Amino acid sequence: MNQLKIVEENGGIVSYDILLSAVKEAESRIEAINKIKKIALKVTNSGDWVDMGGKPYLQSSGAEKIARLFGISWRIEEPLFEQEEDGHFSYTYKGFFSFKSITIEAIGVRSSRDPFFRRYDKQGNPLPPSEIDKGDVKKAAYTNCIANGITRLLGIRNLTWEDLAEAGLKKDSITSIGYRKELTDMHQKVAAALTTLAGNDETKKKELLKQVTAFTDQKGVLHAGKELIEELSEKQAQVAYGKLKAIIEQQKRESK
Amino acid sequence: MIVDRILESKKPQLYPVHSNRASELGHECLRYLVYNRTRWQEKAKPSPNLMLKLAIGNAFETMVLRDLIDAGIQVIEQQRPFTWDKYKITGYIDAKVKIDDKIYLLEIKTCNSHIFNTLKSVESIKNHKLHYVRKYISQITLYLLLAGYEEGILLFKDTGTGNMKEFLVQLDYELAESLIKKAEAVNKHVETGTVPEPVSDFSVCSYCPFTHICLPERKADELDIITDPELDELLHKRQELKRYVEEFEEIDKKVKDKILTLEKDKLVIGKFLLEIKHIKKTLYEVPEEIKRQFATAKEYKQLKITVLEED
Repeated sequence: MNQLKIVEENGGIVSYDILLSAVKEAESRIEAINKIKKIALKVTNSGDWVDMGGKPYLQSSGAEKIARLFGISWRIEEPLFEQEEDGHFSYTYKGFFSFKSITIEAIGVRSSRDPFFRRYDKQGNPLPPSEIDKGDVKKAAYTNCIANGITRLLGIRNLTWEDLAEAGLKKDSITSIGYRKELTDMHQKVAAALTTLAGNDETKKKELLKQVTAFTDQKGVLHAGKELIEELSEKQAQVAYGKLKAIIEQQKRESK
Repeated sequence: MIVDRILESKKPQLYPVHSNRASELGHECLRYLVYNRTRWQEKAKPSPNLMLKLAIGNAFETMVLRDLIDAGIQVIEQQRPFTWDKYKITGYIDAKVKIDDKIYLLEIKTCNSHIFNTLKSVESIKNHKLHYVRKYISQITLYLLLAGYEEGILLFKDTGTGNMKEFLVQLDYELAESLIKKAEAVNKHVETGTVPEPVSDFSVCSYCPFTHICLPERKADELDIITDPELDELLHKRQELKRYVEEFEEIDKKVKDKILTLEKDKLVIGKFLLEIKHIKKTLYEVPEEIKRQFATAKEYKQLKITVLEED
């Protein structure tokens, strides 16, 4: 019984030492991260940041400034190009980023589906993916990879407005990135109706939307429907919502 | 509603590049110059915002030309295109101006106040920290060579304040020769379908529209975070005293300015005796062309101390 007690005590002391050193290590790590954060923020200016959906996002210009200061090395591989059936495409870059004998892998992906690349005709209707500039998407994927690699390596992802304010970067001096077309109430109604009918099944939602937006014109030409809500004009959204509402009501009647 | 439409209309188009543009030949990366000719269609387009900025530059250039005419300066030619088929070099000369019966080539550049204030001499443009500013001398050198002039003027306009400054640029045959050799090298790579090594100065790559296809490897000197209590304390003391230095300099200037306005060589005020001594100094005002003959490039170390956190 006594022996057992000694073991317990010894065990307790050893655990405490380990815990203490772990705490110290964690503290010095936090201190190092805070220092890195302060140094990194000091070399950027408001032009290096954008307000994306209410969160500060470091652009590649800022990431490169930070990389120059810290002396981060990198090597980027040839990109992977993926073409989808509906005409949309994406580029993926993979890079290896090193600092102080640590090397991490980071990727940068950008897709033509991103509203940022969407183009519109003079009436404000979205143009098909074939009109989206491949070079723009490719370059964006590359810069995304660089920014991801640098911020991940230094542990400075997800910085807050408070972090930026401490470094003298004011939120109101930072450009807010808004996409050209915000979803209107009618678009939101279409989205809600699709969820009622298809739940979280994105493929089913696309099929449904395609089905209700396809139409035959006066000359008898069939026009394929659209898979993305953002691509609908206000009028198209109105028509689509009417059709979706009719399906929902019919389903309700059938279930009764 | 309006801004979106304007930005959409500013989406730039890329056009085939069949020649070496004089404005580009000063670029320090040979691979960039080759890609410009062979993979121009893959070049990252400038953003619509940058296009708006460039449009401001163009508007200012037109304004400068009008200012020249208003000032009675004879503008002989404007936007004259030229080509040098042998080396496939092309360009546009902004203007030729006649000043006191002498004709000069004129290249107008616009820039922000920050860059404007760093431009002190032809040498400061040649050695500027921004690589695209360094290109300006190469551009005017090629124009001088092609048009057969010995002197040209680089005229800068500050887009923030409207201020202007000019630099007289002499035709530098050595630089011109190197630019022609560069054009030859680019032409050879284009013909043979080869790609040269990229520039080793990574600061040039930061603004390059071809990085996503060039994929330059970056090797950098790492930053060290050290612990040195003695140096740390000295830096803290230095920082503490710095504000007094600034205050001293400000007061010192005020005192001197005030005393000089009194126009007396000797004065007593309270416990202070103030004396003005007249010192003779010999100044050597060396003309720029002679100064240049004795110019040597020297590298020196400059320490910059930035405070990361306020106490």
